[in-house]
Amino acid sequence: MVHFKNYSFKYANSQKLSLSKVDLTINKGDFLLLIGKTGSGKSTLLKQLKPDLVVGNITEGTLDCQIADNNISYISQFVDNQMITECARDEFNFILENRGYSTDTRHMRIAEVASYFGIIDLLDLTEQELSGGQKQLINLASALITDPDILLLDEPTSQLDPIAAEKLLQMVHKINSELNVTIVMVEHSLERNTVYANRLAIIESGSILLDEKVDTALKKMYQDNFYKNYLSQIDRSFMELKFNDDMVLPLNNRQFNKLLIEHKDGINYVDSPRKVNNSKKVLQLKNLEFRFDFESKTIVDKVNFELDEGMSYCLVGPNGVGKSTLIRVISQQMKQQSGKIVLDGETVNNKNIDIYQKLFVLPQNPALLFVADTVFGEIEFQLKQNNSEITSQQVDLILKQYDLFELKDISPYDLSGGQQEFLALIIGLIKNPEVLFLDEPTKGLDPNMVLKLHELLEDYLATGGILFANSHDLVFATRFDYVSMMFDGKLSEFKQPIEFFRDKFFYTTEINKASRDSFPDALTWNNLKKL
Amino acid sequence: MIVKKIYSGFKQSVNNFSILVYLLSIIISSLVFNNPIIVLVVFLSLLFVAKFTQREDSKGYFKFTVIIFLTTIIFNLIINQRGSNVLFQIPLLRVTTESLLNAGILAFSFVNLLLAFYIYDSLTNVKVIFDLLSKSLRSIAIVFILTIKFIPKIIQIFENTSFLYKFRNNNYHGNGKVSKQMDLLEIVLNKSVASFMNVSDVLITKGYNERAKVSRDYHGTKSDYIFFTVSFLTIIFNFTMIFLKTGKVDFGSATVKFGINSNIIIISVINLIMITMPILIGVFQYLWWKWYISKTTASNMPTVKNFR
Repeated sequence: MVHFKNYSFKYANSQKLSLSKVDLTINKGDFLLLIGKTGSGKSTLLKQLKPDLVVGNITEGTLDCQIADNNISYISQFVDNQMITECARDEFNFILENRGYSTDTRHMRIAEVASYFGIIDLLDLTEQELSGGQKQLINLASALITDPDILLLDEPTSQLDPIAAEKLLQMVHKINSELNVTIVMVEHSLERNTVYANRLAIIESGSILLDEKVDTALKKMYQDNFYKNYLSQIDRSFMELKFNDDMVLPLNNRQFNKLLIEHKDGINYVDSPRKVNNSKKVLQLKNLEFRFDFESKTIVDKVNFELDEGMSYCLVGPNGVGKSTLIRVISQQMKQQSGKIVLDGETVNNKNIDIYQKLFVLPQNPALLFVADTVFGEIEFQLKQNNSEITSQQVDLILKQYDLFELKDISPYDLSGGQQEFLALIIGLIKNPEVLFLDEPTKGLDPNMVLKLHELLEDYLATGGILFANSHDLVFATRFDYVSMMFDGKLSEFKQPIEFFRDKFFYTTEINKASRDSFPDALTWNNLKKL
Repeated sequence: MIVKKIYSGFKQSVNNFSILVYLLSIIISSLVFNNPIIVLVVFLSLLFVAKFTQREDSKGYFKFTVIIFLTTIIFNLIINQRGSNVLFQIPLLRVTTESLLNAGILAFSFVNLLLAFYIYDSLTNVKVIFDLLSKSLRSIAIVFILTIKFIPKIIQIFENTSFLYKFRNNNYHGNGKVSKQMDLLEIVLNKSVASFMNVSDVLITKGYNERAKVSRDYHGTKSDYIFFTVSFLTIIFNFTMIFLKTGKVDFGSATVKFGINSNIIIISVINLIMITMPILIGVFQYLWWKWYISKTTASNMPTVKNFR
């Protein structure tokens, strides 16, 4: 029903082709997963089906789309600010009124959608009262209320915690299989979503590199050094261990568990050596307590811990348990009600401006950090803080070092979510603070960028820096020296990843879940090696 | 929470259209008169209703109102020192009954307007504005949405940005504070523009660019008719009084004084009733439910009794 033929596209404000000679057919009922590295043109391709969202022109080829524009719905990667009105009920009414439906039809449509999605209780809640997962569910319902033929999803789970992401994907799958709605979903990784798709396409520099059935695509991707990092942990491990069994990918944990038990003798558990901690304490928290209002519940509840030089710490836990609030309190954006923070032997308070020099905070929304009009300007601004005589050649050099040179003239607000996150991180690393606080640093990053991030953070730690991160990404957490879980304002003791995940049943990595009968300490695919 | 019950009684029994007429009426009431008695009565009734419709994030708004009130009074006392009944005198400042009265009138008028807009903000929602404006003035509706939705958003962006800026800028507390503030404002504006652009995309995905004509009928209840009629008649009444030059004093002059006569009392009472209508309707609805409907329609089961 949609056919791109030799299709090329250029944005109005750009010299370069964003899509080049794309050939792609989308059939009725397809669930097409579209991946590619950041800036490869995957969102641009998706938006071609909703032409009002892109300003530019077709330079070559044709797009044959048999579906009318208002039968195509689009969901963006941003979870917040997607509602124009105050609550879901008004939002649904607004959308249906735009289409000119009568009062009675509107009422029935809302009733149908609200019961199908199980969101009747959420209809009258305001945006502030909804969690990220609930907001995205409402966005999905808003997209489906007009009964579309095609649903376009642009990284719908990138801002969600793993549980909420799973629920959303299950709902998308239900829509695809029950209602026969065609789904085109752009994603930055293949964790969790391959099970639901029937086709997988890779886009690179604006062209389609691969377009196959999921099983074939995954096996081909493994042969490529760049794209093999995209594979989910279970599939990657399966391919790395080179089992002779001819299995259809993606595998589920049960299948993989069985394979591991069958081939246990041929597999070795490998663990990367851990650092020994004998360094000095830099930051201490003593009985820190915070709540928003007198009558509200305590968000940070008597938290105590110490951060040591050269060590990394990761805090995991579901959305809304106070992880971000904790970082805000430590960095004094919000003042604790009791307890104290000691940095280099001195008590921290908001009059002590030392903290602004010694700490750096990467917030959940990295765009809040930006101060310049271009990526070049951002890097230049930060370099000038340390050395006011920096030249533009030196800035260019740094941009090249971090693979940002091609983006240098782009406004930081025009970057994709993943690129913004990465740029903000580079800014933090240039500042080289004593303690680096990262709030969900892997959000929107593709797997290769996450690997690059690891390298950069390792270098930073080697110079004696301290890293403190919040993350939903459990595989990412396994790379830290210490991990703790936050719930109800309280923190568990910081433990090394193996000790931390060993006794977790639900809240652990997929490899750990699948291999607990055979290799209870394995957390990621590289812990299991073929003998 | 009895206030909550009364408020929901009111919200359930009126529709958005009559609320809009009411809001128009209270804004007019707080604008047109400057007789101190009327201004004071309007102030008290608005404060009462504002408290009644209070939202959770109202602390900042009330704090702001008090600051505006105090600054207006102080400025007026300094600028306008007319009048002969001296209350007290300090170097450079002579406070007279008249100057205090003038200052009070202006300060309360400002506060009344702020309170009226506060009530407007808590009673309307974005969709009502959209419904009204999008029929003929489509682009103005968008501007409205941006202002209503994004002023709090910009304040939030400003707070976060100015805090995070400290981590990026090594000499934040050094010289040139004004130019740094200007830089900061520019940064905040850039970010706001970026988020405005996002809204335009959202509007497109929701089909606003091809909005069709919608038929909408408001079902009026008895409360609606009363609410609408009282509000509408008060608007006409207020304009007539202004036309007849009643309810106005010679503001700013040295001869300004409290003027009480029967007309002023009538205007005050009518405005008092009109402004407190939401509470009156809410109380009536609540009592009607508690003493009549629940007694006559629901059974005497213990579970049902709990809801009375």
